[in-house]
Amino acid sequence: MELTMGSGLFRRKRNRHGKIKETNIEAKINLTHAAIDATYEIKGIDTEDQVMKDFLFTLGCFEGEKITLISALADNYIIHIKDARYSIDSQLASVIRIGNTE
Amino acid sequence: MLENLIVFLVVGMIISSAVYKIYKDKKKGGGCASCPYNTSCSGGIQNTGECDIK
Amino acid sequence: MRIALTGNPNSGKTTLFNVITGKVEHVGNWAGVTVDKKEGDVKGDWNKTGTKIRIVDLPGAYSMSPYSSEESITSNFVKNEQPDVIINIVDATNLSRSLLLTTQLLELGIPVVVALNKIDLLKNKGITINLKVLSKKLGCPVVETSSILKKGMVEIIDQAVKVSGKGQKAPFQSSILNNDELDKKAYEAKDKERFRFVDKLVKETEIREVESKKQTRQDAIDRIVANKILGIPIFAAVIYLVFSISQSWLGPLIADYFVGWIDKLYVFVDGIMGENISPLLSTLLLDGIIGGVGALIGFLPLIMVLFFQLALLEDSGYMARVAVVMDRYLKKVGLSGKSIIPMIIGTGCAIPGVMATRTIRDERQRRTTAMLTPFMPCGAKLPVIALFSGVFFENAAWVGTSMYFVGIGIIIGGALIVRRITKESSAKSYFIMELPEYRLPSIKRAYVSMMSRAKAFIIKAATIILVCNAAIQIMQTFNWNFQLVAEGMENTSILASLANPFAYLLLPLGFGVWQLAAAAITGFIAKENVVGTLAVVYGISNFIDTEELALVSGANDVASIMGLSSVAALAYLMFNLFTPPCFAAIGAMNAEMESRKWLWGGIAFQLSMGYVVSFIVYQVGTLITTGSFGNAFVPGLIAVAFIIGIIFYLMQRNNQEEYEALKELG
Repeated sequence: MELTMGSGLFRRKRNRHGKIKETNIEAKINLTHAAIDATYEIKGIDTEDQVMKDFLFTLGCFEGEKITLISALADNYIIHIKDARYSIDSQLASVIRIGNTE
Repeated sequence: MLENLIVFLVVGMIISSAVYKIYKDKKKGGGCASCPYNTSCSGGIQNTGECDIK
Repeated sequence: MRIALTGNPNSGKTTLFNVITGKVEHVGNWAGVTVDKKEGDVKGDWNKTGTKIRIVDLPGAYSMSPYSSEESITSNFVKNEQPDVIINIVDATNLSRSLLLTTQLLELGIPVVVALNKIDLLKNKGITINLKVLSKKLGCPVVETSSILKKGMVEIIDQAVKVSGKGQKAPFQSSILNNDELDKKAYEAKDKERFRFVDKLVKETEIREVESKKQTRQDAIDRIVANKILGIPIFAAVIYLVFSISQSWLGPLIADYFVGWIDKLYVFVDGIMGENISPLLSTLLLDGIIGGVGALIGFLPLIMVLFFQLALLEDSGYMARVAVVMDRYLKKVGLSGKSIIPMIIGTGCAIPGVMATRTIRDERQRRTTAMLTPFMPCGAKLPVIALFSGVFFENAAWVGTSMYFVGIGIIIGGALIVRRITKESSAKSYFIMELPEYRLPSIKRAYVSMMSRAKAFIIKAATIILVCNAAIQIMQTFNWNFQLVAEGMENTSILASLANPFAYLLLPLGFGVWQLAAAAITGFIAKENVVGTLAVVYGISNFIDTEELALVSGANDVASIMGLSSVAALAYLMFNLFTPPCFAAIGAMNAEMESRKWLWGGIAFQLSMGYVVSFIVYQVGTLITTGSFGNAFVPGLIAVAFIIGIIFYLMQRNNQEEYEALKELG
């Protein structure tokens, strides 16, 4: 996981002549890159699937909310949003863009 | 002969009451008779697709 | 007076509904068990007000927002039918999500009473909620309830009656104007604001000693039971245990007493009829009705034990984890992650299972799931499994367990084939499922669920099965000239001549006799019929021995009457399990597939699957056990090769089309 992150970072740096801020790189990471037990802020849901986006919204999974990765099993991620636990698959995890919270 | 008639009536009664019960349940609109929720349920999960399974 | 019950999925609405109305609706510790609205009257015990109160239980919803097309039963009901009071069931352990819906309900102008449910769990989780502040801030009564412990029931009804007719003020005032013409963006902005309001409210009313995002023992359990490698073996072990208990230990023990009574009834009826009764009538009553139905009812204890355990499993929260484990495999073969839900429901009955496919949005995935769900052994197939594992395999629990996993295997293989034939649609499917907390399953709830299923089983045996058995008995007693069939001339009976052509087709599968063919055919009316018909055509009054504490009376006798080797018996069992389901389930498939082509394709596929699987089991099994192939190997091989050839042709055809389409494009 870290490996893909690293190579992405490298490519982006080269493209933009190393003129990219660290926060921007972070903005590109999604839930599949998250560390277990760490809490992140959701930066956006990158999907065309509006129905799914709306559904996630009603669970409190939208930009600005907090999300915690509880465990990563095979193809599934167990996440914590608003005092509840959900299991999501890696496809869904990859559309949840996250950033570190301070 | 009388005994035969009695047995015949008993058998006839059992079968016709079973048929009547099937007919009555069908009219009530139960899908499957083996399901205890057959009159109250219209299917397994909500029609519109909720639950939190997406 | 009408009260609507609303709340998030798995907040305990249906449990509360069952408590206050005294009804027995299906509950499970996972979301989405309630399908449709259900109504009932409040029981006298809880209603001290003297007015008649009707309760409407609605499916769970996370939100009333107009932009989410989901959950429309709930929002339509509340908006269009104007109940007098809304009881909003709020999961006390998850205020921050549940109150979103609450604030939306409060805006409708209908008086709301909040039932703060699962209050019994708060202490354990180190949560304290200030009820007074919460009630004041929300502007509606808040009552602590625990539907599991039946706490707070009188109070909640009492409060509901008090507020009825009073109207409701909304606590949340959005800075954005409330206007029905608002577009989606504005609604979303408004709901975001609403979430802020809820967050603030929760901060003011709730103290948590332990943050809910902290790792718990439950999370550790999840990591084991939903583990990549261990998940499937654990599931297999659980199913094996369930079958061992119901089939080998506890089930037969109870069944023995039970069958004793049926035997006594048989002897008793035989005794009072005396000798003067025409043999035609006495066999119809004794063998056709009492014997046939009794043979099936004999399995009731086994089935009750099994359903009891399945209810415990469902209550514990484990099934949601099974869905997570299976998701990975189903996704690989082009099914939706959601496809597992219909399949798990299908282990009870295929009809609600097939209907549950409605939640799958992609048409191809929905149709494929509807076509494959009936391969899961449903409740009606259990007596058949029990009979064959008892007669031929000494009640081995592995028979039942492996039937489940063969079913799953066929589903996965079938999905692959269907994907090849129909071409994959590019729709992305996401999978999300709330993981309910594990809890100690309630013995009482499992008992109630078991009893209602047992009742349904008995009703079915006494109606459909009874009528079929009587018809089978008559058809085998007469020949086409409506004369009694003479001894030794059984092959001339109406039943035999109808079933014989089918028996020829079944020869390569190892069971080409008219009796077995007839039983397989009556199985399409209801799968339990297989047991009843076998009892009638072979004149076996019970399959369970009362003396030897063994499930099947003289298993060897029964086996020798049927004249099947164990390999052929296994093939016959699989043929009954994996061919098309009963007519009622086929009807459900028709309704959900909405396409004749898919329906007939599905039935043809199920037939071919059952045929091919039992052919392989019988011929390969016979080769292994006896060293040579079984009956009619060559014609069977031709038939199977023909079926496989057609399937390959269909798969190839699409590849060809795709190839040509690609060539045209580029």
